Order: sequence, then C-alpha cells, then structure tokens
Amino acid sequence: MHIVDTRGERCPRPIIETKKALKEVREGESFTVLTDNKTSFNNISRFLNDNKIGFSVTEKDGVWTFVVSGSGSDKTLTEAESYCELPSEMPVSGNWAIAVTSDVMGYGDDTLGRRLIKSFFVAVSCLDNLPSVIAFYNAGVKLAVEGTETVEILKELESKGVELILCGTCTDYFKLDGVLSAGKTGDMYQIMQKLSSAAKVIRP
Amino acid sequence: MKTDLLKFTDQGGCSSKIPPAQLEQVLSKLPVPVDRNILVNIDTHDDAGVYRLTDDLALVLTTDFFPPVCSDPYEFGQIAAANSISDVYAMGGTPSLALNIMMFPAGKLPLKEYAAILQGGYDKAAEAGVKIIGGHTIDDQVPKYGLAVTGFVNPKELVTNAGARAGQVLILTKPLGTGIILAGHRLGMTGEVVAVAARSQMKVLNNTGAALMKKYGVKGATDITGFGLAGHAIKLARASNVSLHINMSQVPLLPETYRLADDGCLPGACFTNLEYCEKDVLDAEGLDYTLRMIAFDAQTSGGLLICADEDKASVLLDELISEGMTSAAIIGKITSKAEKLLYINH
Repeated sequence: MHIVDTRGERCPRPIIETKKALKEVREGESFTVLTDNKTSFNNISRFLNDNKIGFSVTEKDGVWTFVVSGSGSDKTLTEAESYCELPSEMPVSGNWAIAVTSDVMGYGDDTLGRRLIKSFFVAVSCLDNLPSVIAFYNAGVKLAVEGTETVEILKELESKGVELILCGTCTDYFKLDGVLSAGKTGDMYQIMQKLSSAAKVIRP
Repeated sequence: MKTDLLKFTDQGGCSSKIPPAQLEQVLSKLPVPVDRNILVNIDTHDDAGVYRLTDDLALVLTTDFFPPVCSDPYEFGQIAAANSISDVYAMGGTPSLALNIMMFPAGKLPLKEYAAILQGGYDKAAEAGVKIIGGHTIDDQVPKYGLAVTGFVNPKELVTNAGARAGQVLILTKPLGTGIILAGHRLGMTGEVVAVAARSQMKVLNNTGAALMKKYGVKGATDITGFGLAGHAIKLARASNVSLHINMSQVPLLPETYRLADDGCLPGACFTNLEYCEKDVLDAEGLDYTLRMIAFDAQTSGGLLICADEDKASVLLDELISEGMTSAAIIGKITSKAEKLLYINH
C-alpha cells in the first residue's frame, strides 16, 4: 500500500501530500498517511471529512496512521444495470451454505420457532461473510412466500448475491406455484450438489 | 550571506494569532472599562479602541505585531507597519503617531538587520503620514515587529463593525491569498514572481479605501487580516446584527492562490479559522471546497471590507480602482439577520 509519511512535517505539508496521493492512486485503491503532529491529525481529518473521503485512523505512541480510501465521494449506485456488478463494499461470499429444513427453528414450540427463524435470517444478513447458497426444503420453502415476514429478508440476501434454492418437489407439494417472491426452484440433485461442495453447512 | 528572516520562524504573519475562540474566552473574563467617552470598546472586538476627546475629535488606538512573513528585513518592516496602521483606516480614522514594538534575536542576527526592519517600518509609516516617536525592543529568539498606532477620527465619521445595514453591498479592496501564497512559497510550490505580487499587496496602505469611505459616508467596515475574510465578516455581521452573503467567484484572488490551495496548500490558520467560524456559516450546496477554504485563509495586511449603500457602491468601486486599488470588487451583499451570520456562495 502506498505510504505517505509526513512525520516531522508541519502543516500544510501533510495536507499537500495527502491531496497529491489522492490524485495519484488508482480508483478504489487505499493509501496510508502518517503524521506525528496533533494539528496535522486534526486538519487532515477535517479535510477528508469535508471532502467526503472515507478513512480510518489509529494512534500509537504519538503517531497517527490514516488509511484513506482512494475512491473519493460516496459510491451510491443508482443505475439499474449497476446492480449487476458487485459494489466494492459488498461482503465477499464465503464458501459455506445454509440448509433450511423447516419454517421454524429448533424444536419444542413452533410459535417460538417461527420467531427464531426470522431472527436467524436477520442475523445472517448482518454477517460480513455471507453464505454462497441457502437451500430450502420441506416447510422451509414457505419462508419464500410473498407477504411473509421472512421473504423481504430473503430478497435482500438474494440482492447481495446469495443464491436461494427452493426444493421444487416441496413447492409443488405445498402448492406454492405463483406465490413465491424469492429464490429459484431446483431439484434434489442441484441442492445436494450445492450443499456437498460447501466447506460448511449450517442448519438453523 | 543574505539574511533570511524566515529561518527564524515556522509560522508567520497573522497565522501566529491565538485561536479566536480561546482569545474570546480569555477576554470575556476581563473587566470592561466604563467611561462614557469610550466610543469603541474591547467588547465589540473591533479593529481599534476609540476614545472621544471632544464632539469633533476622538482618538483611535490600535496595535499589531508578528513574526516575519518574508525573508528580507526591510520588506518585513514595511509590511508589518502597513498592517499595524491599517486598523486605523478601518475605523475611518487618520493615523498620526506610532511606537515601535520589536523583539529581536540580538545574539543571532547582526544589528544591521534590526536597523533594516526599523527602516522599513519608518518608510512605510512616513508614507502614511505617521510619525514614529518611540518604541520598545526586547531580545527574543524569533524576531517580531509591528507598531502601536494612534490616529484621530471625527466621531460623526467613525466607521465600525456595528455600522453595516441590510440592503448594502460588500466591497473588498484587496485580493485574498497572502496566507496560502506565503506558505506555498516557503514550501517551494510557487516561484518568486508570485511571492513578489503577494508582498506588494501587503505593503499597500488602506488610506485610499479610508478616504473613499469618508467621501461616501460609509459607516460599516473592517480590515481583513488574521481571521480571514470569513472570520472578519462574521465579526462585522455579529456587531451589526445582520447577515452577510459572499460570492466567492467574485472575490479577487492573488495569482496562484486557487491552484496552491487546490493542491492542498492550506495553512493551519485556515482550519483554526474554520473551526471558529463554522457554527455561524452556511456554505452553499455544492460550493467548491477550495474556494470555501480560501475564505478562511488568514491574511496579512489585507484590504478593507466596505459596507456601501447600494446606490453608491458602483461609483465607490470605480473610484477605488482608478485610485490604484485595481483588484477591488463587489463581492456580495448584506441582508437582515437570518439564521446564520455568513452565507458563502459560489
């Protein structure tokens, strides 16, 4: 990573060097700025904030280390086709899977179980490392029905690149054709292929 | 070897002011003298103190001094003197007498440089019709120079921070950028030609501006120095209970000011002034960051910010320009007090 070392320099040299680095680094590339001067720490922070440039800063032994995002102002993607590309801040999908075997989580009380499975998916959506695939079978397919409490969370996971597979036999059995709003149906072979190639399979 | 005063300092000019918020905090705890002849007191944070002697005559008192803003001692003396005298002009007064204030590293610099600084001061003061009749020097590691100036003003012609009115127009008589250029020059980011232009402007007295303010009956003005255009504009707005609207694209800038600031040459004083000012300022949506920061650049011996009646502004401006203040420009307007004291627009 490109390092801008301004230790020993007084303002405005650190800002000049930071500005220079911002112009030089490639889009999306980060760089580091070091300063040992409290005034420069304040002023660099102010400069980056006012220009909406993302950064983090830590201090140790009187030296402040900035990690500055070189990509400039915020990257809200507003074009529809942009969603086809992965935004750089999207969490990287890991090689693990979830097998959803019912529309409740755990045994003992189904009312509690329905609440738990909703919380489960909320928690999954907050993870930095999302699963690559979630497979739904038996009553689990009901979680993808339009209008349910869980379907919105599933749609969000799908938009983040998680593959949702619904067991086709099960959706037929429960006569859910036409009322599913998330995921794609697949057969047992496809589900097994996905689950068996995952490094880890979690079952709520 | 030619003396370079800048080697003695790492911050020069009005960038060496104590942060305004801290200054105000300290000053607010001091007793304010009560005397019905005091026309302008410390509590209004104006450019000078003013004391009435008779119905037609008042004393104007001010002082300023700072470390070197340039290498050459003689030029330093000229600039420091011009800067000190400026506050009398900003009150609509005529400067008359002064005392030298000098701090000098006698062990490290030859006395001829001490003499050169004083000579610069004397020559500039003489240009303003000011007689230096005394002074005081002490030994100090970092050289500093300036004047304590006494002037006179007719109380009926007094110009203060409290004299601005809604509907008036703002005129700036000198271009901005001295802080940025001095820093940029020291860092080798710009050449001698640009620095010479900046130093020339710093040496220009505000006497022309003061004379024209008197001619056109101006009652509200200030000079732009260490707190930057924004800082001094806010003091004016606060004292007059109005709001100022400044269009940065109309503000005259010294050559290279924008390019240097855009390359990141933003002296620490810019940020200090910004912190002091920001609660009273609203930046226009999408205002260019660099232009905005220039509004906070601490100036040394800057121009006058004149609040002119709308029907007189053009003629006043024309006369300023024809009398030698060639960069003077209308930079905005004054409205009745809005939510913020200062609005900075493109």
